[in-house]
Amino acid sequence: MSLWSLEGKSILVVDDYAEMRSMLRHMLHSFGADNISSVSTGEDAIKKIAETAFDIILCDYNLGDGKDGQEVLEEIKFRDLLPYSSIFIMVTAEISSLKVMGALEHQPDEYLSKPVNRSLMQARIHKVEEKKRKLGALADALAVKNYTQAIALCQYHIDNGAKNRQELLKLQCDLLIQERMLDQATDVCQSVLQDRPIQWAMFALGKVHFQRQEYTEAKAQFTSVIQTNEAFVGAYDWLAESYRQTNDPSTAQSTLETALQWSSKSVTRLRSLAEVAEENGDLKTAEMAWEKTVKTGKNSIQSRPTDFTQLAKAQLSNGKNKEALKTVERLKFSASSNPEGKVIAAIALEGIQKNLGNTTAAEAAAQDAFLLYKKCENSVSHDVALETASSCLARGAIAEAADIVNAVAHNFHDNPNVLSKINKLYETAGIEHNSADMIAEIKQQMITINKQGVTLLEAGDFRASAGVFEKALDLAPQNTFLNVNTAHAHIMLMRQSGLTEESLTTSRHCLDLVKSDTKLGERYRMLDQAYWGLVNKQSSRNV
Amino acid sequence: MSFDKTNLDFSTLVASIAHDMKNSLGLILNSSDTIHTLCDTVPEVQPHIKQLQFESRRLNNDFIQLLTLYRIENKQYFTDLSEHSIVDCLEEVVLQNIDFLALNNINIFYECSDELMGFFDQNLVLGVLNTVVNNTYRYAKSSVAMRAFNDGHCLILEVSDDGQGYPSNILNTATIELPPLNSMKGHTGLGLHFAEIVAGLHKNGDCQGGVTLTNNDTGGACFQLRLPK
Repeated sequence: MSLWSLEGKSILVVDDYAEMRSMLRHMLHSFGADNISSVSTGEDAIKKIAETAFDIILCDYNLGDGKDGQEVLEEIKFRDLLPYSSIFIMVTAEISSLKVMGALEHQPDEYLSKPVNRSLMQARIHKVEEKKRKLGALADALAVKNYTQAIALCQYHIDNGAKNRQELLKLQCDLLIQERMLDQATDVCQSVLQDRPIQWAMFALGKVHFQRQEYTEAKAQFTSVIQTNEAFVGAYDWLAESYRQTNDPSTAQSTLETALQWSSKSVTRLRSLAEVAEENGDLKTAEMAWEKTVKTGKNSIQSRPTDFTQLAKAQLSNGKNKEALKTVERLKFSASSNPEGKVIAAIALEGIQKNLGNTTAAEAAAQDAFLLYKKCENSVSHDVALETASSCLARGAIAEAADIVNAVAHNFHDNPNVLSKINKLYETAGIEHNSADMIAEIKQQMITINKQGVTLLEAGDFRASAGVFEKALDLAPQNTFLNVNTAHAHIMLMRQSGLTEESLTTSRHCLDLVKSDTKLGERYRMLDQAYWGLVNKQSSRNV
Repeated sequence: MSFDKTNLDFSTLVASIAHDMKNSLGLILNSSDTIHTLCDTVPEVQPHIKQLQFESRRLNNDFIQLLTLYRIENKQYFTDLSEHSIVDCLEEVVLQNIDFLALNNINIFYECSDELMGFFDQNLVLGVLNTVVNNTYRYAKSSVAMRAFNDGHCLILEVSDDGQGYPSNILNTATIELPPLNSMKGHTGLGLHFAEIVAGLHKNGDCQGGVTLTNNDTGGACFQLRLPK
C-alpha cells in the first residue's frame, strides 16, 4: 500500500461541518490527493457533480436542513451523473439504520463510520478501487450500456472465484430483470436460494413474477422477504402494487401504511398511499398522504407539481378551501424555476376559484395559465398543454385552444392515447370539433416527411436526411418519431464523417426525448448503444 | 406489528444526537493525533495523549454498543445477514486499532485463510471485535493475535493477547445476564453483554452463536466469538 496514492484523482468532500471538511481534506492530502473540492450542502454537491465527474465522492449522510447524503446519491444516480468507475462513500454516524431505512434501491460503494479513522479510510478507498479495477471490462460495459456484455462478464467473474460473488450475482440478476430476460433471472435467484433464504434473491424473484403478471406468486415472495426482515421496505412497496394489480386497493393501503412506519421518507411511497387511499374513497388519509408527499418531496428529485394539485383537490373535497388556495401558493413558490409547474399552478387555481364560485378570479387565473403556457409551449407535457386548451375552451377562447391542440397533434400524431384525449377534450367542453380531418392531414404530412428523409438516408446522404427531419421538428419538437429519425441520421453521419459537437448534442437531445416511448424501445436501445460506442471510441483514442 | 410513535420520535432524536456526538469524538481523536505529531519530542505529553485516545475510543465503542442494544431491545435493529470475506473483516479491525495499539508498543496481526467466508451481520460482529481489541490496550504486554477458522461446527473468531488473562470469576461463565458490577473492577460488563447478544442473534438451524472466554497456555486472555456457519 505504500505505493498507493490519490494523486491525480478528482475528489469531492461533502460535509456541513467546516472542521470535518478540513479534517477530511487533510487526511486525503496525506494520501497524496492534490485535487480536492469541498461543499457544505447536498444541493451544492449535486451542482458540482453535474458539472464535473469526480473519481471519489466522500459524502456525509447528515447535511443540515437540505438534502441528505442518501438523497444526493439518489438524485445523481437518477440523473445518470455517477459512472460506475466513480466511487461514492457515505460517511455516517450510524451504519445500521441507514442500510435498512430509506431506499435499498441505491447503495453507496462503501460506508465509513464516524469517527473517521485514517487507516480505515485508506483501506476502504483502496478496496473499492481494486474491486472496480478488477472488474474493469464490466465497468466499461455498464458505462456504454452494453448490458448483454455486462451480464456475461458478471458470469465470467463469478465463475472465476471473485470474492464479491454475492454482489455480482445480485448485479447480474438486476440486469437480467431490466433486460426482461426473466427465465435467466429466475435461474440465478433459485440457485442462490438453494442454500439459504437470501433476501435480495427472494425480492428479485418476486419482481420476476410481477413482470410476468403472476401476482399470487409475487405476493408470496414479497411476503417471505418481509417475514425474514420486517423492515425491508422495498418488499412492501411491490406487495402493495401487487394488491393494486389484483384489484385489492384496501390491502394495498394497509401494506403501504405499514411500510411507511419503517421508512416515512419516501416520496414515491407516500404518493402511492395517496393514490390508493383515493381509490378506496378514504379522503382523509388521501389528504394527509398528499400533504406528506409535498412536504417530503421538498428536497427530492421525485417531487412533482401534480402532488400539490392533488393535495389541493383533496383539501377541496374535505371542505378546506383556504388550505387549497394556500397549497397553490406553495406550488407557485416551489415552481419558481419550473415554467411547467407555474402553468399547472395557474390551472389549479382556476379550478379552485371556479369551485368556490369566484368567477372573476377564475378568469384571471385562466388568462395567466395561457400566458405562462406560451412561455414554455415547446417543452410542456401534452397533458398540461391539453389542460390549458381545456381552460381556453371554457372561457370561449376557441382559436387559442385550436392552436394548442394543433401543436399537440403534431407532436403525437401516432399516439392513439393522446389523440383520443384531444377528442375527449372537445366532447367534455361540449364543442363541435372535427379533429379527424386535422389529424389525417398531419399524418399525411408525416408520411411525406418520412419518405423524404428515409430515401435520403438510404442513399447515404445523411446530412440532408437529418435536415429534413430537423425541419419537421421545428413544428413538432416532441414528436418521438421525428426525434428518433433525426438521431439515426446524425449517428450515421458521425459514423461516416466523424464526430461533431453538433451531431453529438443533437442526437443525445433527440434520444433523451425518445427514451420513454416504449414503442420505440428497440430502436432507442440500438441507437443509444451506437451513440455511446462512438463516444467511447473517441475517448479511448484521446487516451 | 405495532409501532409506537413516541418511539419513532425518540429514535430520530437519538439519530441526530449520534451524528453530533460522533462528529465531536472524531474531532477529539483527530486533535489528539495532531498533538501527538506536534509533541512527539515531549515525553511528558505522551501518557496524556494515550489516555485521551484510549478513553475517546472506549467512549465511542460504549456509545455504539449502547445504541445498538437500545435498538435491539426496542425491535428497531434489523440484522443484515450476508456473506463476507473474513480476511477483509479481520483486516478492518486491525486497521482500526493498529496505530493506537502502537502507542503502547503493542503489535497486532491476524491469521486466517484467504478463502474463508462467513455469513453474519458485519456491523455487529465488527463492533464486538473492535471493542475487544481496543480493550487489549490495557492488558496486552506486547502482542495481540486475531485468528479465524472453522472448527467443524462453527465459525470461530478469536482475539488473544499476551497479558495476565481474564480473572477466574468470569472465565467460561459468559451469560446473557450482566455479572455483578463490583466483580469486574471498573468494567461495567457492557462489552461482554453486547458480545453475547450479538452472538445470540446469529442462528442457523440448530446451531446458535456464543461467546467463550478462556486463558491460553501462556496465561493471556483468549476471547472467542462463535458463529453458525
